[in-house]
Amino acid sequence: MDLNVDIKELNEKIEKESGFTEAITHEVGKVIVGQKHLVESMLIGLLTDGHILLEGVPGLAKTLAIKTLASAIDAKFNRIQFTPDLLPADLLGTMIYSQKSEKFLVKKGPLFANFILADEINRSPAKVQSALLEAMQERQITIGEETFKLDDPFLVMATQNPIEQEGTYPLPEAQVDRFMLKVLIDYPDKAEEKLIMRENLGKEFPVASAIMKPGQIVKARNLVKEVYMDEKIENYILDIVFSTRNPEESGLAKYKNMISYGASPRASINMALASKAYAFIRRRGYVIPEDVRAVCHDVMRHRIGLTYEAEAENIVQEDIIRDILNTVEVP
Amino acid sequence: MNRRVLLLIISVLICISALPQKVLVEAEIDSADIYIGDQVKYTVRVTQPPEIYLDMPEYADTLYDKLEILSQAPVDTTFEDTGEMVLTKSYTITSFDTGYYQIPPYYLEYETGQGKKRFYSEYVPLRVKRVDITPPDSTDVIFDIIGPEKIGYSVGEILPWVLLAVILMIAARLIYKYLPGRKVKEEEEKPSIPAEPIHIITFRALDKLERKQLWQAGKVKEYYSELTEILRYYIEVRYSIPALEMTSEEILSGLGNKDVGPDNLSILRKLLQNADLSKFAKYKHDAVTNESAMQNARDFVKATYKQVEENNNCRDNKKTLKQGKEVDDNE
Repeated sequence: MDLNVDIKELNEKIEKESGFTEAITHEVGKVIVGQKHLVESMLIGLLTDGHILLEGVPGLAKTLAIKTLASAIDAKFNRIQFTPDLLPADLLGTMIYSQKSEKFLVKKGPLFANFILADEINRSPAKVQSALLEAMQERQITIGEETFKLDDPFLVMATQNPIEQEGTYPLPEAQVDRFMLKVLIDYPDKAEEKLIMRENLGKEFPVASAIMKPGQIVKARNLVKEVYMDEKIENYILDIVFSTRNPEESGLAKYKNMISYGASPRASINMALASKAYAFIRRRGYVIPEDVRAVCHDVMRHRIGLTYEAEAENIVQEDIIRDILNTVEVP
Repeated sequence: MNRRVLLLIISVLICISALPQKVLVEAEIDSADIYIGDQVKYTVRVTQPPEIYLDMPEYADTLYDKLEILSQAPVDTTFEDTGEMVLTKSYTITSFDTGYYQIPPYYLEYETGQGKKRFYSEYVPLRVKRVDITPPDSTDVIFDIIGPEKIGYSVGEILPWVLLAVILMIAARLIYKYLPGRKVKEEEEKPSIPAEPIHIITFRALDKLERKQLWQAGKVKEYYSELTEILRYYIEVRYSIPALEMTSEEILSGLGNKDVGPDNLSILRKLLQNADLSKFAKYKHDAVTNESAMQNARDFVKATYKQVEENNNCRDNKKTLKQGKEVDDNE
């Protein structure tokens, strides 16, 4: 088997098949000004069957972004506002008694959709959070004695409120780890905000039109898995992940007492997957170190635990990841 | 009979007259000059034959006039080598009235049968003085309240603080020395500057790589890996950018600000792109591309080291011109 032909073929195939990502980006861009990184991250999540944890101040078009993406893919979207009095049944659904049929009928909850925006997930107590996270993991929900498969694609985008800490229930590390990416979103720049202002003051707010079906996303996922990842890239990913566990071995002894726990094997898996998806979005049939570096922050930032010493010295995960990337030799 | 009685009387009289002469009463005071309220020890020492009994006076709370007894120790009895008995009694006394006192002789009584015989000590002088804060005669003058008198510090009082300061200084020094961040900072070494010019080392490494004939042996990936590593090391030393930890795109954008020249950048871009294809996409370039990659690497190094030398010469010339101009101006 001529490997050279394989890669060439794959490259061509991916270049041909991945065109929809540009179309989606374009369609979403009609509605969302800026936030390119958020849109790209949502695409990575979609293409890899992963979920996204979002962090950013309110009013940065998080809901609009996922809603627009759902419209562009012609998928069902639900937004759930997490509150302290929310119950697991409010998410999953419940059995209600029908007087007409004299039977208990299943009333499905809002999780039965393709795209879920779990807004301010840290406002709800642990039992509700774990109900959502279990559904994310299992891709199925059991109500009464019946088990229902969730729709495919199923993308959960959960937001955390970083401002108000009062009355919040921070997600435990084990549950945060289940999110493939943690994306930080920031304010738009002046030019972007001017456009946002104009759009909102206009007579008609732009709407994204459906340009593809959810089934096409499921097909594309198989192609993403085919993206070639060389052993050199695999080793590069491992070097990065292991640097969070044994920083002193990577020449980062200064972080030895700053990291309470390093990234889990889920980080390696997700970084490899996300790198492939990133290469796919860039319409390439193989992964290069740029792809790894592009997704590294989003994959790792919620998987590194900091010690009190780090907090005392104002060291955050971003600093550690940046230094790791600047220290680990690129293949 | 009369003679015997006479002898007895004479011997008794001799005994009576001889014994008391051996009793010695001494009184002394620790300090003859004290401040008002100061405490001082008044000691009485009685040396006497052990066979006689002497009555000691008992003082309740006043020794004499305005000299108060604060405490008194019980009589201490010891024996001299000569067989004499020594009784010692001490009183702690004070006075709250200034003046000169002559402590009257301390006496002990001895019952002779015909009456009492007393043995006296000497007078003991004591001066009780006031703190010199107001004129001696201040009866008609009203003075402000005087604060507590400051007294000098003794070595015993200062020494613990000095020791504490020394210990703290040593501890601070040790903490500073072994602080994790600092340790790493100290350990961080600047990129070692090779003894030989970097372009010489690079040319030698390229020659060595060429002699290995890797691509000719089908090891194209290894060939490009080594080639790019040599070039990246050259760039790292020549331009002081961490090229070994950078991706191809990052290196190119890093060199964008380094006055490398568009032609050289273009050569490098092509070379790195071909190398990436081979390293990460199993791409097998043809022989011409492989050969030209080596030539391109040499051209890049040749052009850039010459450029740096020219820049240095140019800078030197400018410096010489400037110095010459300054000499002319002075003339």
